[in-house]
Amino acid sequence: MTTDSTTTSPPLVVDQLAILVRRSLRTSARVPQLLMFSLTMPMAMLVLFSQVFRSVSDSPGFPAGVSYIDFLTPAMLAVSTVMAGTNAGVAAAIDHTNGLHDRFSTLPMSPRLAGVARTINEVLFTLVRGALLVAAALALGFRFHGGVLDAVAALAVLVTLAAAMSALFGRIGDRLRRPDVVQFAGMMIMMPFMFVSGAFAPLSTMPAPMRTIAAANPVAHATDAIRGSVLGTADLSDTTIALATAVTLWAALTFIRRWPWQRSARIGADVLGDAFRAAPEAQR
Amino acid sequence: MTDDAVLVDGLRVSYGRMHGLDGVSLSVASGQTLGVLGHNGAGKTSLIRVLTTQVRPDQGRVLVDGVDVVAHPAQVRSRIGVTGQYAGLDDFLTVMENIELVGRLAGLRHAARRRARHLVDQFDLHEFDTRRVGELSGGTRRRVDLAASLVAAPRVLFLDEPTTGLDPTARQAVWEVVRDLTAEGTTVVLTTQYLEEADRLADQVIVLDHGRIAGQGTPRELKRLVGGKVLRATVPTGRLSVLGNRPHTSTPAGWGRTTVSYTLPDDDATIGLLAQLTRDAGGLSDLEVAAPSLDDVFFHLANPAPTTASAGASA
Repeated sequence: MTTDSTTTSPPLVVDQLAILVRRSLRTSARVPQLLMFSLTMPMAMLVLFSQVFRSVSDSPGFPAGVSYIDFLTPAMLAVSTVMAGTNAGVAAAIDHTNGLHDRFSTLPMSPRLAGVARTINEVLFTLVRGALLVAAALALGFRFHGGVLDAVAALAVLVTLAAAMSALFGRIGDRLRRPDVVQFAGMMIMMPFMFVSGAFAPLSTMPAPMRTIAAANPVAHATDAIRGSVLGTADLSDTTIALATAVTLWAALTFIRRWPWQRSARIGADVLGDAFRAAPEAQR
Repeated sequence: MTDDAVLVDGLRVSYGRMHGLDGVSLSVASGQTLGVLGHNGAGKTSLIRVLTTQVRPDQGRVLVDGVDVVAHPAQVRSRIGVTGQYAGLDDFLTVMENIELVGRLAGLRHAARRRARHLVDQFDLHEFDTRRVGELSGGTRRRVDLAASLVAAPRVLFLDEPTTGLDPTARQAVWEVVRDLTAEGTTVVLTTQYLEEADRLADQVIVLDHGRIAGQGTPRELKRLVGGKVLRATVPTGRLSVLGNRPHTSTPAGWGRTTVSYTLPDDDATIGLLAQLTRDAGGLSDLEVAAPSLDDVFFHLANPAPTTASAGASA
């Protein structure tokens, strides 16, 4: 065996993140079946729901003068983002089963980077999925009634919701460590997110306890904010609350690995431990 | 800083009320290979996980390449390579992409591809380099994993049971790689259940038992600890209770017979025991008298019996 000259320099966090995002995208592209179903299932659901539930628009609590497809499309954007969040959980669990999680924990990188990379991957797919969904909705008669600022606000809400859901399911994947279990757990968790909200029917038609729970549901806030943007009725507070809820959830799940009084068995995994400090520490 | 590539002093790791490691101290000089032997659950993987910054010790000081694993984990991680019991690879990426991924994350940047190509050549992985890792056999995956561990030319390499589950040919290939690495000056810490592996590769061996060091030394020193001779014989199982000496190991041999082995200090003791067994056992077969192997050392230290004269642990 001959020695090959190798020069390592302290790795930069941005470089490592770019490498991990590229890896996530490449891995996603190599399972085309999953990619295809993940991107097209929301379109199929939109077509189905827009026909099956269209009589909801005749119910007394339904906003006057709004078509059901305009009501449903923002909800499907939010709901499909929640559903796709489980992909991040499954990807995290696969990293455990194939030993990559352990491999990453012995490399000079932050333990949070793989999760952040999965989040970026999920945000990119959310944008593609959203574009396909809106295209299908336009074919079904959907119209955007807001202005440019409304469109930007809706996009921002969608992106932050994707980040929050990816972080949430990623943590679940890290905890459960088995892709099949994550998928079932994901179903359990996404149900209240999806249905205890005004996604498919106005919240005013639901019992009071449901409305109380919905007040803490980031998906409910995202649905309301995106719907407001679509209908041109959004005010700043709707968007702000949706953004704040999603960003808080994302940040808490990404950066807080343990509660302050808990001691981690893993080195560098305490609260805000060595998050993003890998590069400076690696300098010799 | 210290000349030792690995220095462990008073290491304790517990999982709830269970001790993973209980007061372990050891050192490995630069360029040497340490073999860590032990049963399942003896603490081998716990030791590797502390040394590779994955588990926080409850007590003790651990330095790798002179750097404290708790105070500066990222510095340690930039100096080590790790091959765990299971290959740490992305099944959807190719062999080249996997090795390059680890190299880039370790800070190799543009040199990662050249280095990955070099390792593919070195590990004879040409025919697989564009194949996805998920399509490869267990032995080939293990070779890819080892190559990935070496991509950033680590100063200290940790191998946690690297040949478990491999066929003899693949095992020989891994041994050859480890020998080449140590010849180049890499320090290696190797856990194994295969005593032959430790015998062939390790300069120093420690035997872990229930989280403590039951014995340590060179393979030759440890064999000397056991004594001069090992006597093995197969006897009727029903006669075990009337044999005066308690064997170090006894293994069912089928058909109502059991294979027993004794470690003995010298020829006189061996002849005496043989005479006694011939008289009391009621029929001996498969009789064998040999110099002790590391297997004998392992069983001797992990199951000390009072009947052998020179047994002793040096923990």
